[in-house]
Amino acid sequence: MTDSTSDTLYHLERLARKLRANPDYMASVLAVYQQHEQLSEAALAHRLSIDSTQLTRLALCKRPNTQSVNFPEQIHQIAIYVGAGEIALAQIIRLVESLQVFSSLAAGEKPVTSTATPESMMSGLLSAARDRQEDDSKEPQQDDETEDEDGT
Amino acid sequence: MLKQLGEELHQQLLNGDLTAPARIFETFLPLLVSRLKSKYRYLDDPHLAESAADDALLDYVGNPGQFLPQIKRLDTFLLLVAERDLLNMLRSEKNSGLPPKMPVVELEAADGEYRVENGDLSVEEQVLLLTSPIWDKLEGLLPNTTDQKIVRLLMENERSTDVFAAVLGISDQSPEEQFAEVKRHKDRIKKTLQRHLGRPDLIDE
Repeated sequence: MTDSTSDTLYHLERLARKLRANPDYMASVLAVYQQHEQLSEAALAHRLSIDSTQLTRLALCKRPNTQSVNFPEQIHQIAIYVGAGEIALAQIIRLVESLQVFSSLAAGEKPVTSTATPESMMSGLLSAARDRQEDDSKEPQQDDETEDEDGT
Repeated sequence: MLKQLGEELHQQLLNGDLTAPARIFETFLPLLVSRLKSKYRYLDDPHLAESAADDALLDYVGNPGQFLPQIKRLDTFLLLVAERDLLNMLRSEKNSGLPPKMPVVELEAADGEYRVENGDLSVEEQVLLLTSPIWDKLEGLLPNTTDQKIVRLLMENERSTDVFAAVLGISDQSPEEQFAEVKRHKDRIKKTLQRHLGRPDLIDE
C-alpha cells in the first residue's frame, strides 16, 4: 500500500469512527450491530463478504430508510459500491433499526428512526432473524479471525 | 479533472445517492487535510486541521445547497469552509483574550462570492495571530496592517522585492526605487521588533 493510500485510509477510518455517533450514517448502524452481535471488525466484514477497507467505505455511506419504497434500490446501490452482500446488508440495517426502536420504546423515548412503527419493526426483526437462521448454518465461527481465514 | 469530479459528486449528492458522501469523503478529505497542514504549519495541534476538514465536509454533505458550482470549484469551496472552521476552533481554544477589533470571519454566500477576508486580516493572518505568541505582540508594536503583512512575509522567508513592493503598493516604481523603499520599510520594522521583542533572529535575511 502506498503512503498516499494508507494516508487516505487513515483519514477515512478516523472519520468513520467519528460518525458512529451519527444515526444518519451506516457507521452508527454497523457499530450497533457489531456491539449487539459481539463481532470483531474482521468478522463483521466477513459477514458482509467484504474486506476492512470496504467496510470503512460502507460506514461512510448514508443510512438507507427501511420504510422507503426505494429501500431495495438503496441497498443495491450501497452493496454495489462496496461489494457487499445485499441480503446481509439489508438484514443488518433492519435488525439495528428494530433494536433501536424497541430500545427507545422501552425507555419511553421517541425512536431515533421515527418513520418506523413497532409493527413494521417486528416484521423486520422476524425477517432478519429468519434470514440469520439460514445463514448461520453456512457461516464460520463469528469472532475468531484465524478460523475465518482457514476455515478450521 | 478535480473540478469535473467535484461537480459530478455534488450532483450525485443532490440526487440522494447514499454512497455520494463516502465518495466525497474519499476524494476530498485527505486533500483538505494535506492543504490545511501545509498552509498552517505552525499549528500547535495538527489534529485541528483534521477536525476542520472533517467538519467542513460533514457540513457540506449535510447541506449541499450551500455550494454553488457555478461560482467555485468544490475543493476550493471546501478549503475555504475548512479554514473558517479552523479559525473558529482556534478562537474557541484561545480564551476571550482576543482583541475586540478582531473581525469575525464569515462566508458570505449570498452575494455569490466565498470570501473569508473581512477587515484587514486574511484567514491565514488570523490563524497566525491565534497560534503564535510572538504574533500576539505584533499588533501592538506594529498597528499598521501593511507592516504586519511585511513581517509575515519576512517570517515566511520571502525574498522577492516584487512581493514586498506589491504589499507596499509601489509596484509601478522602478526596480531600484522598489528595492530602496522595501529596504527602508524592512529596516524600520526590524529596528522596532529588535527594540521591543529582543528577537533579532525573528527576521533572518
